[in-house]
Amino acid sequence: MGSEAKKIKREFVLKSSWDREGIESFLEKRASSGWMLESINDIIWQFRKEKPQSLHFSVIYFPKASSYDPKPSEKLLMFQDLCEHTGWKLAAGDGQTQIYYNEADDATPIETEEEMAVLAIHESAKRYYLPVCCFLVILGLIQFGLFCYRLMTNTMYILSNNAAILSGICSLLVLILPVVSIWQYHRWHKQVEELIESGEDIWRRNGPPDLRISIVGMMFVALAFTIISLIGGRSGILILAMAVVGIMGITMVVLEFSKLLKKKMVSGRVNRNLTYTAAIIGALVIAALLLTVMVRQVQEPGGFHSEPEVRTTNGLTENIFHDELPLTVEDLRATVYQGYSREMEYSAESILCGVHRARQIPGVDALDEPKLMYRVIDVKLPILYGACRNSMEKDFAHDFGKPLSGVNWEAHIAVDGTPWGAKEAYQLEIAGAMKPRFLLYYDRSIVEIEFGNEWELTPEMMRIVGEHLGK
Amino acid sequence: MARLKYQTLTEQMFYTLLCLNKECCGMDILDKVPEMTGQRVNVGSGTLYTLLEQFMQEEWIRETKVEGRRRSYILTEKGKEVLEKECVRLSAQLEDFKKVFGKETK
Repeated sequence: MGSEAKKIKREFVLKSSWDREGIESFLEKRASSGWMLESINDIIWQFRKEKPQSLHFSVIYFPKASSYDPKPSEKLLMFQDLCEHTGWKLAAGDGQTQIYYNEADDATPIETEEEMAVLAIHESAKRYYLPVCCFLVILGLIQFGLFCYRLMTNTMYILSNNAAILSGICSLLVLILPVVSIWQYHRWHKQVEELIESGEDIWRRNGPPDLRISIVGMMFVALAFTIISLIGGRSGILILAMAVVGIMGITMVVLEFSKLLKKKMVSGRVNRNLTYTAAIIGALVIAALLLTVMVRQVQEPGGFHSEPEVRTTNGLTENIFHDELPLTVEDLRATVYQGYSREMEYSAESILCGVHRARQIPGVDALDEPKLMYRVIDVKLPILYGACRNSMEKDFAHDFGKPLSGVNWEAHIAVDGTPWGAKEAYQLEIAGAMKPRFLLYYDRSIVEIEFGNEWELTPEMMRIVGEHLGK
Repeated sequence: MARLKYQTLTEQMFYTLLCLNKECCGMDILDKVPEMTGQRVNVGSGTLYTLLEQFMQEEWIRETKVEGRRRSYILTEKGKEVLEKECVRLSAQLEDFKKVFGKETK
C-alpha cells in the first residue's frame, strides 16, 4: 500500500489552461525527473512514477469535448487515432484540454498551422469559457444589484456588518472579474489574428487569461478581508463561517451529483444542464439562508443582549437586561429608581463603521420614570460620513409613520448644537409638534437621541450627552 | 474559416484537398502529404482534423464511408473549383514572377 502510494503523486497545479508552452515545458521537466502525467482535473494533476524519460508534450484544445461527457465522444476518439498515427499518445485529458506526448524528437507537431490552432482555441472558448464568463456576469449583476439595493435601503446596518461588506466585495468581484476576462480574451484573440496575418509566432505571446486565476485572486481578497474583519471586530464571524461551510458543502454535493450522472452514462449536455441547475439552486439556498440569519441578527434584539433577568410585577412578566451602555439615565440626572432595563439592542462594528442602538426603559412598575433611547454611528472612513448622515436623516422619524396626505408632516428643525458639543443639531417636528428627539452631528459620529416626555433638558445634560456619545 | 476571407489556401489546405481527389481517410492524408511533397510539407493531426471539419462545413469535401472510427472523404465539385481557382492564382503569380525575373533565373 505504502509503495503504491509512493508511485503516485498529486500536485496542485494552477496553470492557465491556455498556457500551452508553460504546461508543455512543466510536463517535460516532470517526465525527465521520472514523473509521468496520468490524469488532470481543474487543479489537481496526478503523476505516476516511471523511469526518467525525454518526452515531448503537446496541449490541444478539442472544442467538442466536455468534462461532463460520460465517455470520450466518437469524434474525440477519431482525433486521438489521428494523433496516435503520428506518434502522439494521449497522456491525460479533461474536457476540452487534451494532453499528448511523443517520444520522437522529430515528430510532426499536432498543430502545424497556427490559424487552425487559434481556431480550435476560439471554438473551445465559445463553447465553455465565454459562456461561463457571461453566466458569472449575470450572477454578479444580480448579486451586486441586490447588495446595492440593501446598501441604499439599510445603509448603516450594511456598512457596520463585516459579513455584508464581504458579500458586497465578492459580488463586485464576481461582476468585474468575468467582464475583465471577456475583454482580455477578445483582446488576445484580436492580437493573435493580427500576428497570424503578419506571419509572426503567436505562441511567444501569453495565452488568454484563465478565469481560475481570477477566482483564486478573488478568494485571496475575500480571505484577506475576513482576516482583517476578524481582527477588527467580532460581528459576522458566525455568518462567515456558515458561508464557508455552506459553499464548500454545496460544491461537494454538486460535484458528486455530476460524477453520479457521469457514472449513469447521462449525456454530457444533460449532465451539464442538471449540474448548472443544481449549482444555481444550491447558491440560492445558501444566499437565502445567509440573508435570513443576517436579517434575524439585525431584527432580533436578543442576539446582542446579555442574559436577561426575568421579573414579575403584578402578574406581568418582563425581561430586564443589564447591558453596559455608553450613556445612562443616571449619567444625566439623579434617580432613585433601580428597576431599569438597560438594553444594547444592536451593536455592530465593521472596518468601515460602528452602529450601536441602546435604550434604558423602566419596568412596568414605574412607567413614569424617564426613558432614554439613542442610536450612534461611528464613522471610521470619513468618505462614508455623507452616506451615513443621509441614512440617519431618512430614518429620523422611522416610527411615526406618515399620513395619506403627508404635506408638512415631518420637519427637521435646526437647533443650536453648541450645548451638545456638536457641529450641527436638529430636532424632530411631526405635524407641527416638536418631539424630544434630536439628531446630532459630530466630526466622526452621528447621534440620534430621544428622551421621554418626562425630561426637562438642561444644557448640562446636553454637554454630558456630547461627552459620552459624540466623537 | 479566417483564411477564406482572403480567398487563398495555405499549403496544408492545398495538399489536403489535393489528396482528396481520390477517396481517402485522415490517416492516409497524414501519410500522403509528406510523400507528395518530398517531406517538404507535413500536416499535423490536429490541424488536419480541424481542416477536415472546416472543409466539410464549406462543402468542399464530403464523407464517403464510416468504418468504425475511420472516416473517408472525397473532394466535391465545389472543392475542385476552389483548388482550380487556387492553381490559377498560383500560376498567375508564377507568370508574373517570370515576367520580372524570367531572363535572370533558370
